[in-house]
Formats: sequence, C-alpha cells, structure tokens
Amino acid sequence: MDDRELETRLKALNVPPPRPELIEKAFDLSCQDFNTAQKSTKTNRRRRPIAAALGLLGIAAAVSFVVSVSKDASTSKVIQVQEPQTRLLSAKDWRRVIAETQILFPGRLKAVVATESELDIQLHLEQQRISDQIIVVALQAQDGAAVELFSFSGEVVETEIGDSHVRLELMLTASDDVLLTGDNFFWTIRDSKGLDAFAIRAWPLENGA
Amino acid sequence: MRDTIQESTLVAAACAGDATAFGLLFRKHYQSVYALAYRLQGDVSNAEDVAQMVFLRAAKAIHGFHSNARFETWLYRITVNVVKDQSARARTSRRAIQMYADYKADRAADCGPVEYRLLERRDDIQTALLQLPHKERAAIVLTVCLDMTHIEAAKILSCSEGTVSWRVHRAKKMLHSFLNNKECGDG
Repeated sequence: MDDRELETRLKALNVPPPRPELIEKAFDLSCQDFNTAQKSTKTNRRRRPIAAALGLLGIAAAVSFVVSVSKDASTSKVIQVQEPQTRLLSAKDWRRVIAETQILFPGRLKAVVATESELDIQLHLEQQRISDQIIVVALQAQDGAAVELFSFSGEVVETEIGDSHVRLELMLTASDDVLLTGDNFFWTIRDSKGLDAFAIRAWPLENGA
Repeated sequence: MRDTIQESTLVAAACAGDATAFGLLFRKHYQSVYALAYRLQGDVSNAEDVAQMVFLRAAKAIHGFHSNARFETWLYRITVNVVKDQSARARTSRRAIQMYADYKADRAADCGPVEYRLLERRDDIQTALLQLPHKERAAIVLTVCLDMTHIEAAKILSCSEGTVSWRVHRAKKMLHSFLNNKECGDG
C-alpha cells in the first residue's frame, strides 16, 4: 500500500453521529457557563481599579524582595558553568533524524531542535544551498531545562529553553572547531564569554557517517 | 465570503457578551469539533465528552479570543488540547481498540465474506490510527482527514510547519508499519 492509498483510506473513515440528547446537554451547559463568565467579567471590571492597585503593590513588594535576594546572591555565589548533563538523542538517533529530514525537506532544512518531549523542525521558506557541515549543540539552563539541536555551519537558529529565548549562529572552523555566537555571548570548546545562564556543549557530526 | 462575514459578526457579538450569538456559534461548529474529537479518540462517547468540554472552555475564554484568528482554528486548538489533557488517554485508546475488535466480531456473523473484508480494511486503519502517539495522530488527522494545509495545522498544534510535516511523515510510516504487520499476521 502506498501513501496515496493510505490517505484515501484515512479520508474514507466514517464518523458516527453524536447522540442528539448529548448535543443539547452540551449546548445548555456551555450557554450556562457563557452567562456565568459574562457576569463574573462584569464584576471583575467593576473591581479592576482596586485589583490593579493591589496588584501593583504586590509587584512592587516582589521586585524589592528579588532585588535584595539577588544582591545577596551576587556577593556570595558565583554561577558555575558546567558541561550539560543531558543527552537527549544519541549520535545514531541524530544521524537517523538528519537523514530522514534531509530526504523529506531537500534544501530547506535549517535546524532540528529536540527537547525532552518533542522535535521542532525549522525550515527555510525556499530551497537553498546548505552547508554539509553538521553541528550538534546541547544547551542546558540553570533550572535543568535542556535542548539539543542540529544545524549546519553558517546557520542562525532560534529556540526557547525554559523561559529564555536563545539565538545562536553556528560555525565550523577549518580546524573542525565549533564556534557559537549569540546576542550576548560566544562559545568555543576552549573559551567562552558572557555565558552565565547556560551550559553549552557542541561538536561536529559527520553527515551520513 | 458572506459566511465569513456572518461568522465574524457572530464572533464579535459573542465576545461582547451576546449569548444568542454564542449559541449560534455552538450550532455551527459542534459537528466539526465532534468529528475532530472522534477521529482523535475513536470513540463516540469520549468524542461527545470532548466536544462538550471544548465548548465549556470556549464559553469561559471567548472574551480573550483575538478576532484576527479564525474561530474554527481556535476551537480546533482547544479540541486538540482537551484530548491531550485527558489523563485517561492511553486507557481510552486501548478501550476503543477493544470496542472495535468486539464490533468486528459481532459483524462477522452478519456480513458476507466480501462485504466483511471491506469493512475490516476500514476498521484496521481506525485501529492503527488509535495506536499513534497523540502528536502524530493529531497531525495526520488535521492534514489528511480534514484536508488542512500544514501551515493551518501548525497554527492549531502550536508548532512550526516543518514540525507538522515531520509528524505527518512519521505518522504515515507508523501506519504503514502497523498495517503491514496486521496483513502479515492475517496472511
């Protein structure tokens, strides 16, 4: 069976009708909830000035607390940047993903980002000439959130890690050293600057090996 | 076009608190929400529950709906999330698969061999669909069963277009594998 036959069979799947009494039950309940939500929205609008004032007071208190805590922390604790501990995909898995995605999106693949729960495939809008030098990067935030990605030398990749947005430019030098630059940092295996928030590990991966 | 205008008027009225407009939106979209839920769940009773939950969530959240998005896309996004959130998802799939097996056994006695074979082929694909992981199942249901573009599906699944294409590719591969194994087993 080919893809076309599979799609035909999927489209032909029958959906039995829902029971009319359950449609009516859902209708009544959702209209009830709609009306309740309306009433509470109106009440909230009336209370908004007081709530906003209380909210501002709360935020001010929280900010002053955080500032005082971080002042203490900055004097007593230096953030240690360590090698990332996680390895979300093995080299074998990466090679399999790379091979499949390159076949699936010829000339359009920009990066594949793996988190603990899923793969995010980033594509160029149109086909273009892409470097065959593949780089794998592992990032780990202070809170333990981890991301691994592969992309090609010369690409700029953006991703989220924990609550932070990261923008990375990946380069492979003539001596096969990986060079990563971000908005406020750079990283090589021997040196790094401006890297407080993340631990990074990066290495070249032979394509199709 | 006229339909779109009417829909945007209804959505605007519902966002402003018009209960009649919300009721009309319910009537208009219930079937499509239910159909998506059924394809993701494979079970009438669960799909009815999901559809109800979707409209309950919509009733509470419609004030925050942005009029630049399509209302149907918004409902579909809630549907996919409700299905995903159901803690009994794995159990549901197993139950649905068992229900199909029982249903097929009952029908075997009622049908002729050729007719039964055709029905069985259709059921096999429903069973295979239920064995897919949620993300892959949602991607293939939206793009193949509901004929959406990968860009539209990406909006519903809150991921990139490339990720949808990847999930559809994976889903097809898994479905082929399930169905081939089934045929080998039957053979």
